Amino acid sequence: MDQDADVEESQEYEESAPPRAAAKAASPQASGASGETTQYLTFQLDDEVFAVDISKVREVLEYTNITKVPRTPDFMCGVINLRGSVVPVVDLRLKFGMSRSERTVNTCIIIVEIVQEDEVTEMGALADSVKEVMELEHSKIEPPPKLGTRLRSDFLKGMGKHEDQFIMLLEIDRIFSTEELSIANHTLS
Amino acid sequence: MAVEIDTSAFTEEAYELLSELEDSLLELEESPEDQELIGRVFRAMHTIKGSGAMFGFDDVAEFTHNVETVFDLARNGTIPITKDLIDLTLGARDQIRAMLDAAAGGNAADGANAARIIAGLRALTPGADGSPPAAAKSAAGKPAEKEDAGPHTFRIRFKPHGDIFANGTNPILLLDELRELGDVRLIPFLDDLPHSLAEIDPERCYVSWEIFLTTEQGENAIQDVFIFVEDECDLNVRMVDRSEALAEDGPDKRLGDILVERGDVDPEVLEEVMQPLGERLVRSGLVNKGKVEAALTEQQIIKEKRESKKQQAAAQSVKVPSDKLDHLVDLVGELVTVQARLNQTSATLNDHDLQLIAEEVERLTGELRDNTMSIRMLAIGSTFNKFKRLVRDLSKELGKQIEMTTAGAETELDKTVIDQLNDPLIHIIRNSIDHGIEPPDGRSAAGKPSVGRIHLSAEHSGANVLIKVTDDGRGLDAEKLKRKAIEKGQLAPDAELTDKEAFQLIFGAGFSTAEKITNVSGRGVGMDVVRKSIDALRGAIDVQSELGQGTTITLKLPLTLAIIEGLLVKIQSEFFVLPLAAVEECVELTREDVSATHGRHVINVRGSIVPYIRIRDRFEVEGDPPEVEQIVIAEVDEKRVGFVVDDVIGQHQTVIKGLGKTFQNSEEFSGATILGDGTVALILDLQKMVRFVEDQEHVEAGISG
Amino acid sequence: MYDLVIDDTGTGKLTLKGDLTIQHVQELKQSFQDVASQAKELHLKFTDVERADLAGLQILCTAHRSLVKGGIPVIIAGKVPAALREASDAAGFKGCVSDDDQSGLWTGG
Repeated sequence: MDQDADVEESQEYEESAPPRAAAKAASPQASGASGETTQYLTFQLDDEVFAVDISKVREVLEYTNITKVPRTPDFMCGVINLRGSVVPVVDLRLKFGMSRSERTVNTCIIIVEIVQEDEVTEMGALADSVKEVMELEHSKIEPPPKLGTRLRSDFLKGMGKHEDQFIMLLEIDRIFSTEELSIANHTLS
Repeated sequence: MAVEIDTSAFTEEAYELLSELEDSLLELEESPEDQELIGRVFRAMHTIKGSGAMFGFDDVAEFTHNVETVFDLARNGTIPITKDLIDLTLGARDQIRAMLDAAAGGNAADGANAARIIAGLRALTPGADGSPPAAAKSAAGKPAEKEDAGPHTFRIRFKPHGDIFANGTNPILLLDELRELGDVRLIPFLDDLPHSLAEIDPERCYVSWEIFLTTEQGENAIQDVFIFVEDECDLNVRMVDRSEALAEDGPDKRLGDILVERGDVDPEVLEEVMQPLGERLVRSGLVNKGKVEAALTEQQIIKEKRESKKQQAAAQSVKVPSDKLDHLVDLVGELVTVQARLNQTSATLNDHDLQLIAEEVERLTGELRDNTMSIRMLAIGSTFNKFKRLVRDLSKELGKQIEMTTAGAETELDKTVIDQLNDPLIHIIRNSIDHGIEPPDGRSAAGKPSVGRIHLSAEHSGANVLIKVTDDGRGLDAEKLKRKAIEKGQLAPDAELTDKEAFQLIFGAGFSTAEKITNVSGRGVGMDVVRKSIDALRGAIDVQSELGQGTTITLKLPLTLAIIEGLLVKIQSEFFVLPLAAVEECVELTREDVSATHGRHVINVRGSIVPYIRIRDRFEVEGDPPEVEQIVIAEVDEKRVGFVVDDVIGQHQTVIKGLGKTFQNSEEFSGATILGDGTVALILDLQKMVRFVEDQEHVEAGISG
Repeated sequence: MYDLVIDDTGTGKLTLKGDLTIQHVQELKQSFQDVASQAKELHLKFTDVERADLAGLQILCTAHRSLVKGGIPVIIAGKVPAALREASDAAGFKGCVSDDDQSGLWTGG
């Protein structure tokens, strides 16, 4: 499997660890965790489960006509019409270096609200299917593993566990930041 | 009264007044005899002073008072309106502005500067030898209060508004207060008082007065009496100088004039009555026909002047916060989009009733859209006026003599466009003044009048507005430009350019041929930024110049940014929109045409060669092109370029949607629009596409060369 | 406060008691409307008038004109209260200056 998505050394993780993940990493060690929880929307990409902080999720749409924007990276599916606004949609599988997804009846678009260059803006993420809203205790969240995932560690807030399944908690602002999506950064064949 | 007063109303008004003040002063410089202008200047200062005092801006009030005192001498003719006076008063205006900025949290105003200005103004006043004021030039003139003690008579017109009782005001008490100032004779006007009990609203005020007050006190004392009811009445206070009315050698005031002055007779009515009088006089041989005509002409001129002044005065308007307006425009935009879908759906459903309704909705939506767009339109005149000051100051600083004229000030543009035009225009004008117009002796040597001319004009042209800046200066030297560009590596040494193409070089980054880089505009970062700004407005810049004669820079801008007149095209199964304003024509492209040019991307259109871009290739669209393709030929950066598409669908007008920061670096698209069926069509940025291809070609040429 | 008595000749005797100020103008209006609808002639009397303001002057003026135009003559019985006279002087009302029929309320006595 080609890994043109970024996989980086553990060293990077130390420098770019988002503060929240660090805090979560600290809490398992702290005794008497307060039982604080956060709700996440979980969804599936291929055979892995990912999650996004529910407070950032605006809505979930059925797969709809996406207008491809020429000369953009593969992971940029294109744009859709969301009640009069033009919203970009990203294929997370391609962004994470997985194979391109196949459209099924379950394919949907998760609309998230992120902060892009100091502006609040909406973005769409293509998902194979959406699962459920899950409440995770902060104490049960571990820091993302340094090796072994194909995902860049700065894309992850942490890793949660729910009934034997590992859930990758996404740092969605980072994934959708303009540098990450920037067309100039990606050379096309 | 320790009440928290909201001073924002004052500061907002004050800034506006300062702007008016500046305009008036500049106009006054051109026509120093114009009493109306003098009055305007004075009133602006007077209002700032009064309001300033009321809202606790004591420093502003005091400073303005000092300026006003000196200007008052000009008003009654004691001192002439000279350039120095205007200079100083303009300086004072800037100082007041600085004081307001300081109060709003900016840097402290320069106190030494304030003192300098006052000293300068005082130096213009006559010595303290008690020289009496010169004969008043207008009825409005009055001696400065300090110099002429002794009672004055004021005519006060006091018309309370109907609802004045609601605040517990008894106007009679105000009249009593006036009596405390001196001798009062008053005439009540009861014309508005209903004659029948059934009609009268007893709690409404219907009475107004004309009051003659003779007092030793000044006008301020009178204004103070009415200070708390300022907003609930119409008040007019005028000093009626007895001596002038009784001047021995002055003509007796004609009854007609007095009636008109008092507003009791409409000037038009008087004129109507006068005309037959004129005829009668002529017929009876008493008055020469020419004299009557001359008098009537004078009347006519005054009438016309009055009309234009009325129009200048604030028209009925409402202040609306910009973001409310923007939101309205957004909503209208969405409505337009949905309405297009309604149309399409109703056409498909083939329901007659629904179609009728859809048509009606379309009509209303169109009107609503036009209306909303027009609300955002502002006349460019106020922008032009701002530049008068710039030209004046800058030419003074550089020792040049420059006159600025304008045309088309009433031309309207979208508010956003006007806002964003400000900086580019300033830069273009600065360039003209700095590099274009020669110093006076240089001009005389060249046989030109020593006063250079910069002309700003604006006019509508189709769906665009053309704004031109013309100067009669040196003009651009194409050879010099080429040399400089070659030096900077922006041009190949053997490149052959027409003059027109050479002029476009000035938009290269870091380009400036100014020998001396003045701090005004020689930094060379200007014109490329100007072009970027104009691009962002989806406009174009055209440069015309003749060496030795002058230069004209033309900005072509769309009337509105929010809605695009587009040409809808199709490539494979995707739809795209090209800005219709740039499109000139569409021609067919057949396989034969392609082979005839041996694969080079050019086509022969009525004898001239037009290069084209194959959008299919550029966008890497899969599939085969049709046998016959279409080329949309558009004007981009003053060149004709073709864009090859499969099909041209037709015109499409709709709201532009931004693509957001994600696509801000796109070399292809400037935005998106939503089609009738709800899908998204991307809007091509023709300039970027052409420039991208050109850059690529340069790179390729570089490699092979 | 007002008191209206109509005798059998149709003469209305109206007594206006109290200040002639904005607080009372609606009532004053009503009193004159009553006169207009019931009487052929008005004898007007004032008592206990300590203050009069412009609103009071207005309603009196209009009432007077209205009645006179309606063919109901108005006669002031008794003295015009000082407060009323002072107010009308202060306001410059001298027999309702712009009234063409010259029938001012207080030019007489």
